[in-house]
Amino acid sequence: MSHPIRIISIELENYRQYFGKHKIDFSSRAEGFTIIAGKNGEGKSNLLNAISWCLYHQEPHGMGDDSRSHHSENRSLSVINNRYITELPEEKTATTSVKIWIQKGDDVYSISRVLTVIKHKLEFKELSDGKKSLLITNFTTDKIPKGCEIINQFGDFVVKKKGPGDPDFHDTIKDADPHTILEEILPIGLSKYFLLDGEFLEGFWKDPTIIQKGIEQISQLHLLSSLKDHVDKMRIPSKGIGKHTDTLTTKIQILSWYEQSLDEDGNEKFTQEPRWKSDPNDPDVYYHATGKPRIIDLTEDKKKMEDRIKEISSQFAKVNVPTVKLLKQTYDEINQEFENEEKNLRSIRNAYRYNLISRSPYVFLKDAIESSVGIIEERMSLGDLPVRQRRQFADDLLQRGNCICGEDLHSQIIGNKETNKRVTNINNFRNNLTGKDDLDSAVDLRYDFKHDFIDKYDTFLKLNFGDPRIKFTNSETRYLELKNKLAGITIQLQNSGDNETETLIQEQEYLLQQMCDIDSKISEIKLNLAMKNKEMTDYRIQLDKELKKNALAKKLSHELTKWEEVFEHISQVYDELKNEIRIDVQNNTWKNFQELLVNSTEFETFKIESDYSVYLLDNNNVNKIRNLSAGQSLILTLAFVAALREPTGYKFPLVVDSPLGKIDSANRYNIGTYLPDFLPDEQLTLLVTDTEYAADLPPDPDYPKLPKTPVGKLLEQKIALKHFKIQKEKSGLNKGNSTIKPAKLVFNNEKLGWMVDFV
Amino acid sequence: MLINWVYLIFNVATDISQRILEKLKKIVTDDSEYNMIVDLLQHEKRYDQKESHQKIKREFQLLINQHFPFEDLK
Repeated sequence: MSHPIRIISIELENYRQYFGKHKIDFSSRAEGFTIIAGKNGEGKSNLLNAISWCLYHQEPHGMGDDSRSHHSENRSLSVINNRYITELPEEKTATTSVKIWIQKGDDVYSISRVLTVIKHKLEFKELSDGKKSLLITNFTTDKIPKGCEIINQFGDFVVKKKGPGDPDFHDTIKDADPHTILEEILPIGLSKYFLLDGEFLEGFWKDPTIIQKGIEQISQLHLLSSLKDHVDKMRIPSKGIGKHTDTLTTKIQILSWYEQSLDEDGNEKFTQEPRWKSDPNDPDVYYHATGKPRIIDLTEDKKKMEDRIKEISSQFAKVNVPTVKLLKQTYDEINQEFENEEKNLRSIRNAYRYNLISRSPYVFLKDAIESSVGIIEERMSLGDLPVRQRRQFADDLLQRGNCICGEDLHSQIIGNKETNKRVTNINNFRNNLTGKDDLDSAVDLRYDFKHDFIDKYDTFLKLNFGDPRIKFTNSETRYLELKNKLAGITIQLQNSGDNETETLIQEQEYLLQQMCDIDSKISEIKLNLAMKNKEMTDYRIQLDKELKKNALAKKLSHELTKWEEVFEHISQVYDELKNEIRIDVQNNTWKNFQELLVNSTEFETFKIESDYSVYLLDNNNVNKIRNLSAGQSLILTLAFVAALREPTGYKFPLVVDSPLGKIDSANRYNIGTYLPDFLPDEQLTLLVTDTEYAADLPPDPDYPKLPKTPVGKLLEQKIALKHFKIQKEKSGLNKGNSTIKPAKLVFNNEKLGWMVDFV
Repeated sequence: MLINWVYLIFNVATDISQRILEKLKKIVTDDSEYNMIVDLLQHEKRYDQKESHQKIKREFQLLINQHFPFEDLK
């Protein structure tokens, strides 16, 4: 995992708007940064797509949601270059390919994907201006021109390797499936964390699962988690040993199926109940039937509902009715207080319940405890306890050599035998104390019970029950008061007569009710699980006893004991690491964010909770994570992605599309200054527009003395830069196609300033 | 299946995070158990979500036989 990974080169042939062959040799981190400049719509995102397509047969970048944007052109573009396929004679084969060379440690991999089609008669549609446009067919994962037929449906995907002593590359198919090899190098699950595009970055903090997946996948916690599940299944033995053991195994199996929501064949079991979705057009997904997976589904949905409620909240702010705005502002303030009180109540309630469960037995057993203390004290007054004191007494007598009554206690050994009977008696007395040392703990217990419980019974009741109960009642009263206030404002909002507000309130009410229901469902499943878990433990103990009765069963018992130990250890490793890594990522993100962001003092702290919910608190303790500016959001994302690598040492290449587009001048300046020191030893490639990279920084009224030095020049002061330029041809045979060539940052003239231009 | 065995025999590097290995070493004091968990993790890394439960069980069974062979002393 610690081998640094970098992209050496990429070669595109007839891929999308790249006609013919185009090759880019990337800089290693030691050589500097690679900068690829191009205007919007000229092919930057498709360069990211080329990497994704080659490695994972996916093209997720730059497709956009907005049909009016330049992305719409990209959505209707074939994976095979238009000019190439149009000029090719009919019934000939056409190939499109992307090849990437990647270095991992001392090994170099050549990864290539080739799509081959036969061209029949192409189909066109006539546009309003009289021109013709090629029609496209969506063929599984590839978009190809209508009238073409794919020969190799999933593309030829080949991974070759060249080790340090190898004269040349060799095909890895004899070692493993190429997809398996690729998973070892750059796993698909991590692709969104190293191929960063603007759209992904903008929505980063809106989806908590991105945070969870990032942390768990990069640190490989997901491996431990799935291994834990698989080992858990090994703790159920095969049947056929005996009737009784088979019955016990069946019982354990049924309980385990419930816990993991599985059917008898080991397949996941779902209900017919569709899960909640924010977009009605999304396909239906169903809840798991039982156990832990059902809790995970419900918890995920609750999080999504919370997100939607927050969105509704921001939609309220946009409603243009002054009364509504004022009410909404009050609502937000009280809601913040309500959420804090809800958390407070939860922790007080838990503490109170804990005391009720753990301390009540003392109260019920008060008489028995007092009587036990009495017995122990009686034994102490008789000198029976503590044992250590009696042993000390015997040792002292023997050492002194005479008793307080004057009897001689010197040892008189004749022929290996003690002849002084008194010494023999004392030795016997001392030997009889062996194995009775545990009784001394009764003396210690007596002390604890007497001083902390019997003598201070009233204080004990007050501290453990009285005070927590008062705290709990006060918090509950406050919680209900705030809840009523919120309900009152909701009614006022509903009566404001604004239709939009009313619809939003109805949705909010519905979601709040659903979230309450989900809480009850989760509590119920957790209770069920706890009961079934207890039942399962009892069966396991019985089964273990039964299995020790014959040879075959002994073998099974031996294996089960081992699986039990392995399961316990994997669980411990998982739990401890999960917590440690989460806190490391949290602290590193916060540290990076403070370094990269100008004026980070407006924020107080950054937290990632154990359920991976994220808080960026401002000075008033308000969570601003959903109200960040585009620039702040992007900087926090970069800080997070950088932080993800630090605890794991996983060094993979980072390619970022339009990193500075939405960032204000002061922060651009800061990034230009600090980026070269950021993520040392890791390869960094930036896909930029001239405006964000080469143009002078626009004046910022908050920072009048800010230099106007372009980001490119700021970077150049600290690190070597290798430039490429993407340019779309505007005329001639190659019109509409893009070329990538080496370039450099040049000063044009006073009016045009700096720009990236071909060498 | 054949590919996976060849993969295992020739020990094509299956990287497990150093941090996981360090934590394992700290918690698991028995070397045989440590080695088995590392082997289990390496297997786990190659499984995808659709991997059959039977196959996983079979491979895990082989691993326990290899690392903790049963010897009945009586």
